[in-house]
Amino acid sequence: MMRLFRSQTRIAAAVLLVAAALVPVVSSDVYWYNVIATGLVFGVLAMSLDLQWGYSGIINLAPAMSFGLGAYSWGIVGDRIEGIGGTYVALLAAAAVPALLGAVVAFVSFKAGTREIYFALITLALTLVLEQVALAATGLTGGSNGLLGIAWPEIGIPGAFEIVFDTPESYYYLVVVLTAIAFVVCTALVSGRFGSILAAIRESEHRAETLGYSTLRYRVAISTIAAALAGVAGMAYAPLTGIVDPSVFGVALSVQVFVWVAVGGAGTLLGPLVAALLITAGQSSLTGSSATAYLLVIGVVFILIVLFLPGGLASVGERLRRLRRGRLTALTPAPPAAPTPQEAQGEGQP
Amino acid sequence: MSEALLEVTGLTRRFGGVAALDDLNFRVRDGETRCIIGPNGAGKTTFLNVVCGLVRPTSGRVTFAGHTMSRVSPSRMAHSGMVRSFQTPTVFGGLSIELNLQLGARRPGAPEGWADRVEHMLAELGMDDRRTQPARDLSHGEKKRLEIGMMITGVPRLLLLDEPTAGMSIRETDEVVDMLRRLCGGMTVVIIEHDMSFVRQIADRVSVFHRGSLLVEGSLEEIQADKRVQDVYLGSGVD
Repeated sequence: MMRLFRSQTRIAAAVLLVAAALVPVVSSDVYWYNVIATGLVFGVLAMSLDLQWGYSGIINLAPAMSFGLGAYSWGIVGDRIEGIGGTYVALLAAAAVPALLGAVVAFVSFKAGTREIYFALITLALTLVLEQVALAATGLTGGSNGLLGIAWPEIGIPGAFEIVFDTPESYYYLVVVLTAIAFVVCTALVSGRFGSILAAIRESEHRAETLGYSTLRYRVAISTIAAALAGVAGMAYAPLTGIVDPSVFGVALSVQVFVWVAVGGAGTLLGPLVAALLITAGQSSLTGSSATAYLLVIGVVFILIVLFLPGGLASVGERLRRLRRGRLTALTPAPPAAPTPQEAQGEGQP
Repeated sequence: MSEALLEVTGLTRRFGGVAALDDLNFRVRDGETRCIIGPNGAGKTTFLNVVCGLVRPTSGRVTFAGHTMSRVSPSRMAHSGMVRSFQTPTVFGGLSIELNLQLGARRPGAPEGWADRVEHMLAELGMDDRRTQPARDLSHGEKKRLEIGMMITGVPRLLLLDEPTAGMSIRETDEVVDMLRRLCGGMTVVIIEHDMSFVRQIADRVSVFHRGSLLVEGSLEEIQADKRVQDVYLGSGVD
């Protein structure tokens, strides 16, 4: 059943990404390229939080911290190093800087025995500090104005070939490919032994530790990977907006990421990706008519899902299956009760 | 006489003004099955917590397989071959029964051949047809047996069991006795237990803890006959 669910999830993800890749074929509306690309980038950010929260039980209240570092990495490096070299250096920085910070924060916190909410508060405090640093370090970050005129990335092999993603359409394709790679990597990560051990630690830290699994090592590892992923998402986000300002470290963005993961379904990867995409698209539609309408709708949706669909959108299929099974059972005459394992073994008999 | 696999010397653990362990000396030979009994508050569970690295001792030394284990994490202890169960059955509730066993069988430091051991254990536990079921859906007794199964599949050198039959029916207790007898050959087992019929069936030797110290040690018959034990723990007699 689990394997079937997994294969269905992968098929759904493939369908989603192929559909996303076909958008420029059926539409030439640059605005919607930008909205969908932003939704996909936010989806990658949501998957990074899902790795920590959904799969590992680690509550990082500031996924925007790594995202912001990634965005600034591209903003700063892209402005100083032109061409393919700049893209690669920025990509390295966008992944490595948040990864290093994520690793240090996780190591120090978990080594000291910090638990759940206190770790969450540490991450929250750190992102607020970074926001202030971004505001203060005007020479590097542009201060409250941020960095403007964010460059388009280029990839290729120097001297051999170069691809410049300098149009909304070409950059859109790059984002789709990035999202697909992120999904495949995350899925591979959580499907294997590494993912099983993370899930075990989430279920019972003491049990995992006393079986020989170093909870510190695995938590630091997943925090590092999630931070790197969020950093790359941040880098991909910068050219979409053309500006990187301190709001990328903001609590508002971090809260939104939690909403995407909760609405999509923590521990599913695809759910947070879809939720980020839908909510971003919904936000773009609703803010056109009323700025407050979006907040109102998303607030209500969030409350309804938390109350009535705690598994998020990803659990809708399973819910419907259970409902159908329940109805079928109700319509079918009940067979004689099967013995429990204890009864089958003769327990309770004279 | 075999070498001591586990030896603790002068082990003390204080919680504020209370000494849960008070200059405890204890040793278990390789291959032995030892039961630890004692009244509530005797320090039995604290002893396991300290030995497996979950709680740091205030003073004293733990030696396992000839190595002094001071300030060693539980995972490092387990890696060296020492695993433990908890009073409350502690399994990975959201994971399948099979995955629980796999995580036990593939623990760091476990020998090769984990897949066969998992299949064997599934059959032993009578859960092979429910292998994909989440462990949280099992009954209390089944969770306890699964937890023990997880540890045995990892082929540890030392198995520490904290009240493995607590809350079990007589039949389930017999199943645990049978399981331990058949599957723990060659392992050293230390069991905290209150059920004296269980102790009688399984123990090579019995240790009695009292107020954080070792009161007396010997065969069950010797323990039953000891006046000190009767005074502090058993009252008029055992069982």
